[in-house]
Amino acid sequence: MAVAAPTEIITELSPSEWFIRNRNIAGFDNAARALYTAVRELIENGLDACEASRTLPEVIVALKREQQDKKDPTVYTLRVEDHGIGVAPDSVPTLFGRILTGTKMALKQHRGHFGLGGKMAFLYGQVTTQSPIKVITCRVNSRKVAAFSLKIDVQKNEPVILERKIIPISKFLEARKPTEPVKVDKRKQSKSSKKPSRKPSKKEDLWHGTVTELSLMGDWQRSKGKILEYFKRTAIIVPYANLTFETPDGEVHKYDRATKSLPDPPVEILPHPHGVDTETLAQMIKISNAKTLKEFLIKNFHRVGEKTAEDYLKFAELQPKKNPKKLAREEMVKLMESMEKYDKFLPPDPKCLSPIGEEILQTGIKKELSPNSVTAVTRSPSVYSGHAFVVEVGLAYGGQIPTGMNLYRFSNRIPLLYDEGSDVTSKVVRELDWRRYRISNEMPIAIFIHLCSTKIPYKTVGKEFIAEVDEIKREIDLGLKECARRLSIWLSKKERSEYVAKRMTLLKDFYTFIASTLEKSISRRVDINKLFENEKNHVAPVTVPAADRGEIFVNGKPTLQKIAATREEGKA
Amino acid sequence: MSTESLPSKKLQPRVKKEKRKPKEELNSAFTSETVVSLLKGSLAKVADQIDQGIFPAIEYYSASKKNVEYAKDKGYVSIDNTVSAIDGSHVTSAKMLAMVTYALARFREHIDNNMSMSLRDFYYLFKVKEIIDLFKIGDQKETDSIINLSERIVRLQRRSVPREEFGVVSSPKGTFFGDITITDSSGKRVRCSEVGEWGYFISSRPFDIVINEINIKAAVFVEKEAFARNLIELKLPESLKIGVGALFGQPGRNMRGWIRRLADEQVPVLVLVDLSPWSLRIFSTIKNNSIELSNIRGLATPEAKLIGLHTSDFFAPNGLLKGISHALEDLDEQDLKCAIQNRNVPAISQDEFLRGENENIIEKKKKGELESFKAFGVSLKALKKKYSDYITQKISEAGVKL
Repeated sequence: MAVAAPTEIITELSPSEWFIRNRNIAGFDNAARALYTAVRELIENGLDACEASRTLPEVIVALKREQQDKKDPTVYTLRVEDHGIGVAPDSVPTLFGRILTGTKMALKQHRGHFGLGGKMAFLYGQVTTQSPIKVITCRVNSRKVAAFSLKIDVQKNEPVILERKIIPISKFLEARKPTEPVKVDKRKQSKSSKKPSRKPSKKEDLWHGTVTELSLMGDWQRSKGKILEYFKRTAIIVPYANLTFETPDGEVHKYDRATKSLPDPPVEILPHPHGVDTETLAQMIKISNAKTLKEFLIKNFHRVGEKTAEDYLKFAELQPKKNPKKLAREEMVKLMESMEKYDKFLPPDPKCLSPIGEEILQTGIKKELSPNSVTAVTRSPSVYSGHAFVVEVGLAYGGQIPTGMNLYRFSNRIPLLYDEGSDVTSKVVRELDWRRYRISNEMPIAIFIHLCSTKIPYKTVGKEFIAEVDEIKREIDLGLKECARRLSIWLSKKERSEYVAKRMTLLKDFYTFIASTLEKSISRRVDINKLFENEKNHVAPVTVPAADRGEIFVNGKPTLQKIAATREEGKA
Repeated sequence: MSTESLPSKKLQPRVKKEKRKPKEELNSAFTSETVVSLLKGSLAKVADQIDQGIFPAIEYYSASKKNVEYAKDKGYVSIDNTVSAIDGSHVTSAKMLAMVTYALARFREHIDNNMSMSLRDFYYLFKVKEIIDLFKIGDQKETDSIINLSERIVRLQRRSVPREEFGVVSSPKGTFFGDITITDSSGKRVRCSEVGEWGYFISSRPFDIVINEINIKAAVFVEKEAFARNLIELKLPESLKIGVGALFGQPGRNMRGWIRRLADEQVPVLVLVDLSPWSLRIFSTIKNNSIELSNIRGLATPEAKLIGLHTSDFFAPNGLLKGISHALEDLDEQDLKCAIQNRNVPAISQDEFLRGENENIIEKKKKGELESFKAFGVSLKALKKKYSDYITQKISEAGVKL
C-alpha cells in the first residue's frame, strides 16, 4: 500500500527573521551579552558617524533601568547620542529599519560592514520589549531636527514608521536643556564658542548628530564588567574621542579625549582581484556596463590598468575584447581561477586603511593606564588574499597595569573582549620568546594589537576573534618583537638606574662599617660623607711606584693608575 | 737581622747551641710589635684616603703567572712584577675592603691579647649579629681568601707577613719521630723520639721552634701515616739513625715550615709518597712551595729528594717492588686528568725527573700505594726486611750515607 508523502512546507525567511532566529551568532545569545553587544554596536555607529564627518567624536551613552526595583534580567533603555553628520530624514527609515542596509558597504576600513550590528540591537530590543525605537537626527548646518519612532516589520524586513516629526532645532534644544544637563559637553562648547552668551548667528551650527533610543532586555549586573572594560579600551584606541557613559547605577564615567589629532581617513577603493569570489565576480559582471573584458577589469578592479589587464588576460588565455556578459560558464571559472593564480597584480593601496598611528596609540595607552614606559609600532601595510592590512602594536610597562601579560586586542578601532584565547594575537604572544627581551610574566605588561584591514578575518559574526592568517600573524610577530626590543632597552636602563641606587646604599653601608672599624681599632674618626659628595671626583693616590714595571694590568683588572684614569673618564 | 753562617762540612750528628737566633729567611723575623705597627699602618692608609675624600684603594701583588716565577733551586718565588688593586669605589671591592679592614682590626686585637684563632674561628668573626647581614658570607672560602689577601697587603721589606703572625694558625698537622731535641713556643724542651707514639706533633708555628740538638743523619717524610708508623714500629729510626715524619696527605704549612727548618740545619730531607700524579704534587709542594703561597717564605725545600715510590720500583727489570707490580691499580678518570694537568705545572714539567715520572704514570696508566707492600704476601719477618731493605737502599741511592 502506498503511503502518501508528507507535504513539505517551504518557508522563506526575511533577513530580519533569519537574524532573530540566529541572534546568538551576532552576540545576542543572553540578556547580559546582548546588553554588551547593543551598547558596543551603537557606540561604534556613533564613532563612525563622527569620523565620517571628520569631527572629533563625541558619544554620550545612557543606560537606565525602566523599573528601578526590578531585578536583572530586566528592561533597560539605551540612549546613544553622537555628534556626527546626522542622517537625512528620508534615509532614517531604511537605515534604521531594514537589515543589511547601510553606508559602510564600500571597500575601505570601517568598524562594521554589513549594516547588521546596530539593527540587530534594534531587532533584539523590539523582540524582547515590543517597544519602538526612537531616532532623533539633525544634519550639519541644518535648522531642522527629525524625530522618528519606528519599528521593524520582521517578516518583510521593512521599517514601520509610527511617528515622524520635524521640529526646529531651537525647540529641540530648548526641550532637552533642563532634562539633560549632563549630556552637554561643556568643555567642547566653551572651546568652540568663544562667547557662550552671544546669540548664535543664522549660519552657525547649533547641534548636529543622531540620538537613538531603544528599550531592550538586559542584565546589567552580569555585563557591567565587560561594558566598562569596553569603554576603557575604546578610550585607548580612540583617544581623540570624548565618551560619556551614565550607568544604571547613576554613575557617570567620562573618558575625555587626550589628543585632537584624528587619523587620516581611509580612501574608498575598488575590489582587489585577489579579494573577490566567483559569486561577487558574477554580480560585478552583471551590473557592469563594460563592453569588453579588458574594460571590465580596468573599471572594476583596484590598481588594474591597461597593461595589467592585458597581461592578466594573456595569462588567463582570454580574449580582451570579449564581452564579459557573454562569458561561457567555463570561461567564468577560468577567469576566476587564473585571477587567484596570477601573482603580478599590484598590491592594494594602503590608503584604504586608517591606522591610528604610533603617536595616537601611545596617547591612548598613556591616558588610560599611565604606564611607566610605552612604545608603539605601526607596521608597513601588507596584504592577505587581496585585502590590505596594517598591524599596529603597542607595549607598555607599569603604571596601572596589573602584573602579568595583559592583552588588549583591537580591530578597525574596535576593542575585542571575548574569546581571547582563540585569537591569532594570543597565539603570537604565547609563542614569542619573551625571555630574550628580559620580559617576564611577573612584570606589569600590557600588549596592544590593532589590526586594520578592509576585511578583518573574523571567525564569527560576533566580531570577537581574528583567524590565524599567516601574513597577519607574521606582521603581529614582527611588530611585537620591535616593541619588545624597545621595552627591553628601557628595562635595561631602569635596571641600571636601580643598580646605581642600590650601589650607593651598599657603598654607604660598607663605608659606615669601615669608619666604625677604624675608630674602634686605631681611634681614627673619618668622615665618609666626603666620599659621596661627588664620587666621580675622587682618585686614589698611587701608593706603590709602578712606573718602572711597564704595563700595569693583572688579569685584565686595572690598578691604581688605571683606576684613576677610569674615574677621570667617568667624570668627563 | 743577621744571618748565621752555617758549616758546609759533611753531615754529622751535631749538638746545637741553646737559643739559636732565627734565620732571616724564616718568618720569625716579624716581632709582634712590628706586625701590630704594620696593621695600624695599613688601617691608617685607608683612613687617610677617606679623609682626603677619596674612595680608598689598596694595592697588592696577586698570585698571577706574571708575579710568580719557578726556579729549580728556589721553587716558586714571587717576583712582584705587576700590581693589583682593590678599588673601593666599586661595590664588590668596597665589600672586600670592609672585610680586610675588619680582618686587620681583629688581627691586631688577637695579637694584643696573645690569642690565636683558626681559619674557622675567623669565619665566625663574620657571623657577629651586627655584621652578618652586611657581608652575607656564603662559606669559609670567602673568609679564607680575606686572610690570603691580608697576607699580601701587609708587607715588610717586600715580604708578606704570614697569617701565623696575625694569630691565624691552622690546626697542626703532621708528626715527626727521631732523635732531635727542640724547644717550642710553649717553652718545653722535647726530644722528638721520646714523645707520643708518632713522635712530636708539629707546632703551628714551626719557625718559633728552637732546635737544640740533632742526632739524625736524614729525615724521611712519608705521605701515609700507616707506613710511617710501620717504620717506627720496625725501629728503623733508631737503627738507621733517621727521623720519620708523617705528612698525613698533603702537608700543611706547619709541616712544610718544619721541613725547611731541618733542611736549614743541613739534615737531608727525603720524601716517600705513593706512586700517583697527586703524590707528585705533594712532593712538589714540599720541594717548591705552591704558586698560591709563593709570597710566604720558608715553605719550600728545594733540597728535598723523592726516594719513592718510583715507577722504576715496579717496572724496571730489577725493581725493588717488581714482586707487587700486580697489585698496582688503574688510573681513574680524575687521576688521568690530574696527570695531564701536571704537564702544565712548572715545578713538575720543568723538573726532568718529575716530568719523567708523570709521563711514565700516564703511559702505564697505573698507580701504586705505600700500603701495597702488604701485597708481597710473605711472612711478617720477611716483610719487615722488605721495608728495611727498601728504605735503606733508597736512602743510599739518594746519596745519604747511613
